[in-house]
Amino acid sequence: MKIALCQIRALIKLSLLELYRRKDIVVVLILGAVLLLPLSFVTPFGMSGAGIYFNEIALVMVWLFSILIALGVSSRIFPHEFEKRTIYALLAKPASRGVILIGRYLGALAAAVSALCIFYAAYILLCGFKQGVWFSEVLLQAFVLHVGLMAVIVAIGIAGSLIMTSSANVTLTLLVVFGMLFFGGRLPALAADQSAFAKIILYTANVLAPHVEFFDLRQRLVHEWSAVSWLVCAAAMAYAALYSAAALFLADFFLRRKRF
Amino acid sequence: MNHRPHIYAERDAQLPLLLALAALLLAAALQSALRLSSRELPQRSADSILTMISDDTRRVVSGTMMTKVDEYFHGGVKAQSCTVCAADEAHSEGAEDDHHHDHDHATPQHVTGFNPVAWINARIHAQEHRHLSDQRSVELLPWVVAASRASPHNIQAYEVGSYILNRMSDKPQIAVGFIKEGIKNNPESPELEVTLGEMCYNTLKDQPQAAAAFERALAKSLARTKNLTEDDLFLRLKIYFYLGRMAKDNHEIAKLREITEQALELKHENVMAQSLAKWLKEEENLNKE
Repeated sequence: MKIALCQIRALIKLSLLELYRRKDIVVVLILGAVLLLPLSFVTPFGMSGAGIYFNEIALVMVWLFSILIALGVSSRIFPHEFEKRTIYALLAKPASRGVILIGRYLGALAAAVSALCIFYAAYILLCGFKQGVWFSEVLLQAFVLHVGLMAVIVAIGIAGSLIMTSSANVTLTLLVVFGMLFFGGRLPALAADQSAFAKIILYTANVLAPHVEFFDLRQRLVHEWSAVSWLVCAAAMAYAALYSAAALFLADFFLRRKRF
Repeated sequence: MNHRPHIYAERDAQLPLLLALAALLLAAALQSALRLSSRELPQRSADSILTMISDDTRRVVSGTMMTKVDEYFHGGVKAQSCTVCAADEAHSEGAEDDHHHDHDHATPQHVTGFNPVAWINARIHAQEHRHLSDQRSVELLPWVVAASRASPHNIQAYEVGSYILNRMSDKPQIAVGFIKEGIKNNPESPELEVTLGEMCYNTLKDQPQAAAAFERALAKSLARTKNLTEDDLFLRLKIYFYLGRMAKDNHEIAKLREITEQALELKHENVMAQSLAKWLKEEENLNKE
């Protein structure tokens, strides 16, 4: 058990090092600054005081960049290992396939969450200076739920990387994530007006696809709605844990069947 | 030495074939689209397909920005999210609506039994109906400006923007400047002239400028002869109404009579046409006395 924990810790460290060595975060931070800084000086008709638009665009970027980082990190872990054949060295340590999977998952999640912390810090700084609001309960809840989203996306990314090629995995996961983000909450209502076949597809998607819209507190944060009950947050996080576990079981199944 | 697994090498070999197939499909699709555009789509002969696509894209982007304005006004709640509101609006169609709803949206009423997905979604995403206060109306302006820049032909952007500036932000002079910019970009639009006229008449109390705006609006409205909609007729009645109102203010009976006759001819039963008839009668009685 102790050895397994040490191995997992080493794998987490490796994933973190890999993310920061690739400088992905630096690139997206510069891109974000280039897009946001000119926007922060917008004064329509010479009237200052507008801040919601800035807040919203900044959060959209945080979401977009965090999803891309999480998916980028998770989807290239195993294909990279197989291509470079470093998986043999890991298996020869000896580390079981389950330990490698958990270690790689937690490593990718740690990398994604560390990037998320940087994005939120930048967001708090930008919005704090512009609007004078530095912290709120909704902001904390938005961050916690965002971590839940990262857990789900990383798990899907890893499971997908064992079934598909990297490009197919990234494309399909992005389609599912953004599709569910925009339509996830309305799937039953959309299904009601469809033909029997489309109904089956939409209801199946409602059950199987990840409800990433559960983790989206942008509207509450941007438009200054009251905080959600922590019980609801706990329910969303429980969903994230269950969905991630299911995706990891699937990944484990495919990893065990994999012939190198 | 190539260390790439065999499976990847096979996929790489298929890639040019797939790309060629995709290019062929794209060419076939474009060819049919071009043939369709030159004969069947309603367009001016001078418009190139690129201009059309670019204009349409700008219009769609601008329209999306205007939906953002509506969303911001309602505290980030999208119209489609509020299913109870949609049902209410369907029931109260045609009735006087003060645009306020007191119902509780926390629990969707259309859901029967316990649905965990709907339960979480209804609590995570705010769905209550609320309006942005006038003091914070400046929050709407960035999207209005962006919408008018994205498509200078988006008349709704100029109308909504001038309303926000005039009524909510209490900046009528800036609103007039904005609407004049809209008129410059859309010289054929009577709607913007009417908005300008209303602002000059109701807020600025500048009757000469209002009268000039309504006269221009009438000329532009009368120039529209093809495919007149109910909205076009309503707008023309509105122009007659304001012109008649100003004629009444100035006791110009002959002008008021001419306007009233035109309004009654257009829509006899309309409340604005009836008001004009009433004013004409009052003025005539006053003149007899």
